[in-house]
Amino acid sequence: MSNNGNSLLNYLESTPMDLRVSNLYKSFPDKEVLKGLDLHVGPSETHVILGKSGVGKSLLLKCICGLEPYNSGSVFLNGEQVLSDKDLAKYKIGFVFQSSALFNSMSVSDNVGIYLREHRLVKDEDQYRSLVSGALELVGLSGVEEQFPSELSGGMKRRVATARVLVMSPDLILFDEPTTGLDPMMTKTIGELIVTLKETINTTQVVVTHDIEFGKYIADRISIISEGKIIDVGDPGNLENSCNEVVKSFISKKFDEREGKYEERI
Amino acid sequence: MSELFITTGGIIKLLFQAIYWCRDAYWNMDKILYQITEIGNNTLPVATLIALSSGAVLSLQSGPTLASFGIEENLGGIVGLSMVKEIGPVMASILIAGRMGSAMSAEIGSMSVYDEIDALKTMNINPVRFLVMPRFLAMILALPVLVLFMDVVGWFGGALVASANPEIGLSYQVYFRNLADFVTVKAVFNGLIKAFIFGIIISIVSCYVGLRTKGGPREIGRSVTKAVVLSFILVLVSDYFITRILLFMNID
Repeated sequence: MSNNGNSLLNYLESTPMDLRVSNLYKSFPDKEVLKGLDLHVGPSETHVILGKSGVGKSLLLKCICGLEPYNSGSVFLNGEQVLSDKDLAKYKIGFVFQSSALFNSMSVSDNVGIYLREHRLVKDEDQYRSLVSGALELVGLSGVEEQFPSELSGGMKRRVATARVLVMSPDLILFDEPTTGLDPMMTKTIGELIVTLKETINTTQVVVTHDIEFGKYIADRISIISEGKIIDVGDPGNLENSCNEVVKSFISKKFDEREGKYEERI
Repeated sequence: MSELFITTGGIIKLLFQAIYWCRDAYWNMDKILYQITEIGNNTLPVATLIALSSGAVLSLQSGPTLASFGIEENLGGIVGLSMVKEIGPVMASILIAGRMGSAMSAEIGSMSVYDEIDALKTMNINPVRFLVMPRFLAMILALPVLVLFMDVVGWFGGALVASANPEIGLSYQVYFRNLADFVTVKAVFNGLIKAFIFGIIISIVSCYVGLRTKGGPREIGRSVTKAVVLSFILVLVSDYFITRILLFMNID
């Protein structure tokens, strides 16, 4: 790793977070989505939440980081209940959006460094450039600093979005469907990136996806979400042995990206 | 009816938040200057044309009538006062709402739709400080300057017609001497107060509508229309009330 990469790793001061969600309910005027959901993610754990589209996986992440208010239930970060935005502001929670959510009018460098600039965390321009380049190097995207998001592929955008989150020294990173719309090669690259992050910065990661193979590859533990609840939690290797019929049925199906639905495995 | 109250409340709340975050203006000077430059680049050529035409039309409409009574030497004062008190501030505001208000609501609306506002929130970056405050300050600083510019260009437009039109036949010297007699600093200040308030209205309404945008690209288009129409209505209606208040305070 270059000097830039090392300077980023020296700069990162994340404290892996313990996340607990208890009896979470969230409904919209026409639909109840989360129905008493419980979840526990330990410090430094990479936890994958698997489930079909539309069961509330992304909504759960938004409830955890305060983007969506929930009707009832509790979110505990490091054992402390989150009661207001001020409680949340004490922690650094990075969110990698499904759409990447990069600022189109800014260069890649400005996108990645926005947190440093807006919170005035760097002393000089050299340190700023070094940290931004280090973050981009860590996600395998050196040399794209001056490009704009419109010039990048979908996979590159996700990696830039991940780099933007890395410079926050996040205590918790939430990945919302990080492989949706990507080809198998890029899905593998994103999977390797998440595993690399686990090894290098040792932060807590929650990944929601509908891609079972991808989930198994990156996860320490996997939760299956269905009907607004977590119906089973286990190690990636033990999912096939689950006693839960819904889990068995889900695991035995393969997601067809082109059709947008699950099909029986052969 | 409830939507009206929600919108009114939301606009007032956003105004107070923008005022609160003005304390961070120094650290966001680059964004404020960028917005001022954008306002200048996008409006100056059109503003010149509009002001020149407005002054010329005022002169063309009033000049011959005044000349028929033999009091055409008062034309400078009439054009001058009309420009600084009403036409300058209102025309500049309409122009700014159409060009910059629409751009603001489209940009912020697009950021809302594509999760960029949520991304700011997750990074503990306040969207009002990052997006609204620089636009708010740029608008209330740039609009009065644009009004002053349009006033002066409008006076010249009036002078051109007054001297070139044979039915009026007024020299530049007489026109501008009369204008200087009538147009006081107080009258110019009157127009600048209006511009300042119109700047607040346009920036806050446009940013509010942008931030409330949800859905897809079609909603961004709807937000732009909504921001421009709402700004026009509020500028024109508030113009009457501001004028009443200024008259009451003897600033008019």
